[in-house]
Amino acid sequence: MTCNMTQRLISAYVDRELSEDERARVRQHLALCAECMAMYEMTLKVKTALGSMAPSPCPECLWESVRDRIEALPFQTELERAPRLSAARAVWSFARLVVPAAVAGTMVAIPLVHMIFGVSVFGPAGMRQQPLASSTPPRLVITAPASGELSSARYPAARGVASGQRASMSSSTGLFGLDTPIGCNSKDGEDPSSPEGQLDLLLRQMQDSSLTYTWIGGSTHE
Amino acid sequence: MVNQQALATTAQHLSKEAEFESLVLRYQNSVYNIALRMSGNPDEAQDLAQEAFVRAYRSFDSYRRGTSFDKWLYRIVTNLYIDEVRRRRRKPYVESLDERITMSGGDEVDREIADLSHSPETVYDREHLDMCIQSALAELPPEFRMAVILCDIEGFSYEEIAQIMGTSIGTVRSRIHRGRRGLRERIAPCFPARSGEVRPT
Repeated sequence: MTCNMTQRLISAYVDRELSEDERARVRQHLALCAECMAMYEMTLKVKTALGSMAPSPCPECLWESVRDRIEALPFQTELERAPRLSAARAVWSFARLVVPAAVAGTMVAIPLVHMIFGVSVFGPAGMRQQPLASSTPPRLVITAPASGELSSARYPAARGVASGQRASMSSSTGLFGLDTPIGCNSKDGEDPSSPEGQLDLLLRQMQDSSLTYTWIGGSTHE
Repeated sequence: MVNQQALATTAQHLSKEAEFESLVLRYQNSVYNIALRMSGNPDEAQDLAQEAFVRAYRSFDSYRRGTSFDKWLYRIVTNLYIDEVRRRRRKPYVESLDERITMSGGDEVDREIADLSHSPETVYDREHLDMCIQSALAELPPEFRMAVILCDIEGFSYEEIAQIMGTSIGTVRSRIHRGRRGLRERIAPCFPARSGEVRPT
């Protein structure tokens, strides 16, 4: 056994925490090595000195101060505390597992549903996004009370207006529509075919508070 | 009308407190002594011991009756002391040697200090050696310090220390070996240069 190995085992040797085999080999080395023997002696002295340190008496007030603090603790018995703790623990362990999984699942599901089915998760229930390549442009639906002169009309969205397309009529659902350019109701002699004129008309119509407006499909930005 | 549940609860509480009190009185010297050796400061030691018993009381319901109370208690003590001693850093207890001593009657006297430098025999003075060991202990990392204290002052075996500290026996052996190595280097000057007193068993 080398000095290095012996010196690593000296503490355990002093504490009688070595196996018989290790103990015999350390003893054998110590008998031949003055350096390791000196280290053994010093280790034994340290252990003895620590063990014979004068014990300091505990302050008499220790229990009193402990008792004061104990009595200040909330008054709860094991019977009262146990069910509450276990229920709280159960909720916490359930939430700790389920919540991150749910969040991750939702984050994956939203774009998947959007891509595969074209359904807008955040829009009105069941509303479908128009496919990008669809020939139907996004539309602004204006709905008015039936008594109005213009009960309902559909206008192309900004994209359609800007390109000078005309509004398409739809009467299949009882809606009254226009088969004329959107600027046909212009009263101010503006060029109804220009984008600015069409936008102006649209804004004036929107000032009528009896009408409601809903964008259907697509983005309003080109 | 007397609430039976409240009565039972109060009785249970009182009996728990009485049982706990007897355990505190039995172990308070040891718990305080470990705290003192860990912190090196009587005031801090009292705080630590008090906190250890309050923590023990709060989790007293989880202590299984019939099992070793001291191991259970020392585990709380160990975790608390190591954390707290590391958190508070080392603030050695300092007492000014120039400060006058107040006697019990209220009189003040000068402190008389023996000059030890020319008196090798007095190096063996118990108090001086204790101070030397205490300052050497304070230099050790808290885990090593606690392992050495549990072994040499409290007399626990490596297996018991492993249970108390929640580690393997190999880790305990390593901590004690490294702790003693640090102590040997620092305490050696406190011993007179004599050799050949001890032979291996």
